[in-house]
Amino acid sequence: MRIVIVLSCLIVIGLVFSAIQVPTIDFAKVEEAINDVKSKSQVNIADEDTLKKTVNLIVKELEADQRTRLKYLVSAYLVIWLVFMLYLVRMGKQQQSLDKRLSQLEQDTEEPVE
Amino acid sequence: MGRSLNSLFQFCRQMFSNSIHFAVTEFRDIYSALRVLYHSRIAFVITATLLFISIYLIFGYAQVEKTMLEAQKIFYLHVSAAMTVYLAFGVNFIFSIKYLIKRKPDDDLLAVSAAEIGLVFCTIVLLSGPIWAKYAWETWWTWEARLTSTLVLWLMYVGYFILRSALTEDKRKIYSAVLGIIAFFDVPIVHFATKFWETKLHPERGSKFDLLPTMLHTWMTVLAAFVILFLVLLILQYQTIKTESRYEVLRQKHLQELN
Repeated sequence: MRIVIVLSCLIVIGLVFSAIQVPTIDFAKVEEAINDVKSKSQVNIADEDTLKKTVNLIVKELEADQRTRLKYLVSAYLVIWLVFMLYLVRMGKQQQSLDKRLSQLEQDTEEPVE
Repeated sequence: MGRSLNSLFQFCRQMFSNSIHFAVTEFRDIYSALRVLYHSRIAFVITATLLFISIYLIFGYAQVEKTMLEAQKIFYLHVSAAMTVYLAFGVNFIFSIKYLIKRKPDDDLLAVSAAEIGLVFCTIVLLSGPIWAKYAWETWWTWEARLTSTLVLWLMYVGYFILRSALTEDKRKIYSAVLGIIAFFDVPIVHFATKFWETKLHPERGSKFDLLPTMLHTWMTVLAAFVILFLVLLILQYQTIKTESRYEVLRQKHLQELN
């Protein structure tokens, strides 16, 4: 039972950790990508600054959206994991209390009870 | 070559006849099958492996859905849990009927175990659903047909346990079996709710968003993992409450001897 709880704990921690690590694209990367596209396709960009700002805003918005989606995803998985864990702990306690009562009865009767 | 093939054949035949003998002697009924599975621990290993594979498939194999993107991955656990609820309450329904016919205490114990685990899975459905709904429908809860009927189902099985704890030993089994049978009739209502009431929120049966092959494989694996997890929990819970009931009998006997 403990192994299950520890292993599942590790999985959940890994899940939360990977959800937090959303790759972010900063302004320098946006600028680099625009320059790259410009040199490769030879598109004539009239107002480069406006374009960079617009692309940067779009990237930020997309990242925020992704963070929101991941927040919901991780919350749902966390809730499911918590319910399972609580149920497993309850089962474990029920089993422990039963074991105790059985050994007490064994002592009282001085006969092994299966 | 011929001799070694012959000995291999003999070995396989021996193994096969041993397995048949084992199955016939050990799996006399469902209860002995549960006992064997409990002691062999095979089911536990399979469940753990399948759950690990499921997690990998969800995050590493299944494609991201086009409209809901990453949030759609809630689907795999949410829908699989809902299917497992049907199975668990179905088991409760069958063994409640069996108990009313044969009055075998083991049937009652199995029905209770299934109801308890079904309630756990139903709780998961009711908790993970609103999180998904908040993203997809921008509301935590709405009194839509499927949501409401699922809540009613959950409440009925909570009532099942309240009834069991409130009644005396002799009445408990019969009344709870009757309630188990009545409560199960809500399962088809939950399943066909989107068809009966034509709700716009939950997709209608059979018209779910396009499941790509990778998504379908992942869902099937998660569903299999949940079904086996249900069986494992059923075995554990059944063994525990069976031992508890045997303990009660022994304790009563011991008290009578003392008096």
